[in-house]
Amino acid sequence: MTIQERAIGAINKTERLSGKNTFIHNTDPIAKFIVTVIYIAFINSVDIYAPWALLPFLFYNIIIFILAEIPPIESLGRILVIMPFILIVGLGNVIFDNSQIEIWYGVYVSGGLLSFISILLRGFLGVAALYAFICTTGVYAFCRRLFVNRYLGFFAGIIALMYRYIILMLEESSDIMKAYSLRKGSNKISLKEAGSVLGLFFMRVADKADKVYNAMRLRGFCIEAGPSKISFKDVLYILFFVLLFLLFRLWGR
Amino acid sequence: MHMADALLSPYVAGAVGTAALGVGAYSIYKIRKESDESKIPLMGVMGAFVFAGQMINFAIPGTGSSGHLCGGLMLAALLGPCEAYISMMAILLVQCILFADGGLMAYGCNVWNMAFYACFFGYLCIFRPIVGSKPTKKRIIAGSLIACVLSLQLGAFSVVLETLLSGAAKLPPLTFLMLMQLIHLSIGLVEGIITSCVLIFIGSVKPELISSEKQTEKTSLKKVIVIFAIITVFVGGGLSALASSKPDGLEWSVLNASEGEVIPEKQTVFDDIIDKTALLPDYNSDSFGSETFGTRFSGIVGSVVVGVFLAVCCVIFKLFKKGVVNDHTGKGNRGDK
Repeated sequence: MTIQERAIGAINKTERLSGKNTFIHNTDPIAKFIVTVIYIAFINSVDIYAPWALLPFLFYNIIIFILAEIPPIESLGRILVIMPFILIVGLGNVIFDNSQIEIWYGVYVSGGLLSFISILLRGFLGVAALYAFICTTGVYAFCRRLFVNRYLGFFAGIIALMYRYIILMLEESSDIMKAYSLRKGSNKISLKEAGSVLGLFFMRVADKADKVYNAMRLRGFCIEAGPSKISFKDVLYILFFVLLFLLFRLWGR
Repeated sequence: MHMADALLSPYVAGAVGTAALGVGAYSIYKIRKESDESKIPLMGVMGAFVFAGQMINFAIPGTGSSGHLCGGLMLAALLGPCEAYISMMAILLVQCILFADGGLMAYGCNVWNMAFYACFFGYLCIFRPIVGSKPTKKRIIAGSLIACVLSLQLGAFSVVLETLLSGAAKLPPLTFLMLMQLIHLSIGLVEGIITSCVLIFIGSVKPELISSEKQTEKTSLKKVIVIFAIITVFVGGGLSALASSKPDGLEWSVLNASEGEVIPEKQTVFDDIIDKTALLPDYNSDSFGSETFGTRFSGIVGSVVVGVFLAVCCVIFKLFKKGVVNDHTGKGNRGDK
């Protein structure tokens, strides 16, 4: 399976999961987005030498995953995708941070190790929350809700169109890569051929995208704005989780 | 170069994010002002193209590794800087929410590091002046290479700065900086080669797409002067009052090197002249009564004097240049237009 096919599979899976009908799915995308941003800000503001203070925050992800019926084992692969990068940077802490932190009366642990665990946990929790957000919202629903003003609406229009074209482009680039590897016997394109391969790719998809856009317009495609105001239920949703995060934060002190 | 949330503090992410979103809002304002919303589908297509293009790997000769397109400069060359910036913002958001490539909190930092430098600095300050209005193969190659390398170097430097300011990663600053700059030098070269290849190809098939005629309009000189005048008054008259009274870097170094002993300065005849003729010695004037007011006044007066001096120099230079041109063309000053 090529990288493009894997990406298409991931997009399809996200779309499939976002089509469910649960309490979390029916919550306003803006409310979910705000809660996700606050959650990520909270977990990243926890003391780097106190990884145990991050553990209560795991409950948020568990709650959302259960309520939104997101399959945890299937999702683990997507969540762990950023771990190699975080591992590399985190390992630097183990090597270079030689401070000793007292975690219990007279029990000292390397500060580098504690910060390494913190970075890993932060990365895992943050990505899991973001994954839960997109799996319960979907890109189109999020874009529709972004039409709160003309500026965001403009941006949302570009994201929605781009998202629509991405599948098309990925399929096209996958075909190009397959054709190239069959002819040359390698998945890596040489720099000499970079211009013609990417240039040709651009010309082909630009023509195709033009046809798709015209077809979409002829069929009445337009991104409609979602509800303009946030409902009381959604305000309660935000308040509940913010209070919960505050409690988690106080518990970790 | 995608930064993860785990490496950033909310303060750093918030500050850089505000700057990145501010530039985004300005870009949208600019595109909307030019009432060119017909560009939305093109921006969508180009964004998706770069997104998919990033998944095509190219072999780097002699290294055994591979690189891919980042696309900021290419988008700027094909769409214009503001449009490219917005497209890059959209690409990075989709990468972030769909593929966990860069965190949500780090989104602003990623936009700043990968889109701002390539679309504005790389394109406006390097690529466009080199390529000019008549792009040739050599100019495109030179422009793409230099712009990509410098943009990525600045981006890598920002990554180091943001990570160190956040305090999560405890890597030694100098080693981290050296590694980042070095690795991004090779990435920048590859990015530059790929970008130039694509631009040359597109230029040969559809030259109108990379002609610089469609780019942003010339900024009016008056506007620039007014903006700089406001900034000057603000900095000279406002921020100068906050200036530290502690010794500057050189003074501090000398003081430390001499282990706290103040070396008496030898008063020369030139010092006497300066002391007698200086209008505002040591940026202060006792006649104002208040030291803060004196500093502010000195700041504004100094800025105005420097501004007038530079303006006079420019006028003299312009006159001199006119004379040189006329010598070459052999035409008189009056008949020249």
